[in-house]
Amino acid sequence: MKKLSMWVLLSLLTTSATATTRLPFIEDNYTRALAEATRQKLPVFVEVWAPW
Amino acid sequence: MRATLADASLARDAGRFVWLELNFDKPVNQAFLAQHGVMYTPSFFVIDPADERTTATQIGGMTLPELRQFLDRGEHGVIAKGATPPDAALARGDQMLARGQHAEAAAAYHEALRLGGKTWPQRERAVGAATWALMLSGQSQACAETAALEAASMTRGQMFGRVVLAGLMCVNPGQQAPWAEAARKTLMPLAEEAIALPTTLRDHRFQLYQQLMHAADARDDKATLARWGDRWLDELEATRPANDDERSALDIARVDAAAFLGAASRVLPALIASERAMPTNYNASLRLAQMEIEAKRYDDAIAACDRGLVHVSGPLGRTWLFETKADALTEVGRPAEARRVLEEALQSAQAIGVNQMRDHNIEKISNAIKELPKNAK
Repeated sequence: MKKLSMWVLLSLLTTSATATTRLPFIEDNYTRALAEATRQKLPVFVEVWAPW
Repeated sequence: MRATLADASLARDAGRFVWLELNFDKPVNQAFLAQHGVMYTPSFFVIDPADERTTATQIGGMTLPELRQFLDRGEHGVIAKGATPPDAALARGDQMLARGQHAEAAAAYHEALRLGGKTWPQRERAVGAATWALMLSGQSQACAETAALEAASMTRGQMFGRVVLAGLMCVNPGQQAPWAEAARKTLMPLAEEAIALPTTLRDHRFQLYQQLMHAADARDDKATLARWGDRWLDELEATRPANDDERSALDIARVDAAAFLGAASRVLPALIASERAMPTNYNASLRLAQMEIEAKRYDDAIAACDRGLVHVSGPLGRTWLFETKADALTEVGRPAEARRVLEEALQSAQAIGVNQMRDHNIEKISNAIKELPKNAK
């Protein structure tokens, strides 16, 4: 159980929905997203996710 | 939650934002995580590029309607001129949460609740935000008491489950004080109600199962523990994953439920199938290894860790794989190899970007090394 405690802390699990499209996400590049947002005069939506 | 973001109806929102996804375990993202005090996944932010101010913050998953409201809130952005005092306090709380100032955020949310009164339209969102900010700032008693005070009278929507969950998470880590007992008494039946509600987010329902099992385990109520564990595993078995993200989410829950129940063998077939279905996903190998250790299949666990280490990319995942492998090596009487692997884990843990998590892992691994037999060099 001890070994799982960090997972429990970190893992808020995913949920299902109708998944038929993908928003145009930039991956792992905050600087690029910020520059892009400045250029387009748009806010940045940020999702922090975990692969576990 | 990732599946929610893939909902086809969001395509029309594509042009409203620049969309960014950050992997919690990638070193390149650690500066952002540290700056925003991110301790939970998923977490969401809307950021104004002009000054990098956060205009909306959410910790934990959202339903599609909640996500839409979040996007609107973030786009609307600044604390608008003419915003009511409670709305302004709520927005201040969100901004503090986004800077990792959890105690200050909780105070702002409480101020918003005080100013808004019982009929304020944002009250339930503020209650949800307040309980989670209290939890994150370690104010367990205030968190549990706020949840217990507010939850019963809330609309039975998504926020209800979120508040009940926060309250239980604040009392279940072994809290025995009278305030904890009182909150637990109020929240336990509400948790059972939330689990049965179709409006409760699946993320939250899974964690509510976990909390109910924690509580049953703490009072050594094996029948109740088994009842909730069986119900959870049955739900997991009945769910067919739509994609790898969902498969992973279901497997995480399987591991949690099986570990509590001491029923690792029950989930091994599903975990083996997942590793085959996602051969480059190190987490599938890690989950399998953990359950193989529980099932005393130590050599299989060592092999699964080695498969995962081929594909792991971030320091936290690598640390966990090394630790798990060391556990298996210790169990099969190979302490010298376990020590070497733990030393690799320690080295990997030094690279974890979030300070609190790095320190926690370093301390844990250092203690594990000390506990090994002295002659295991």
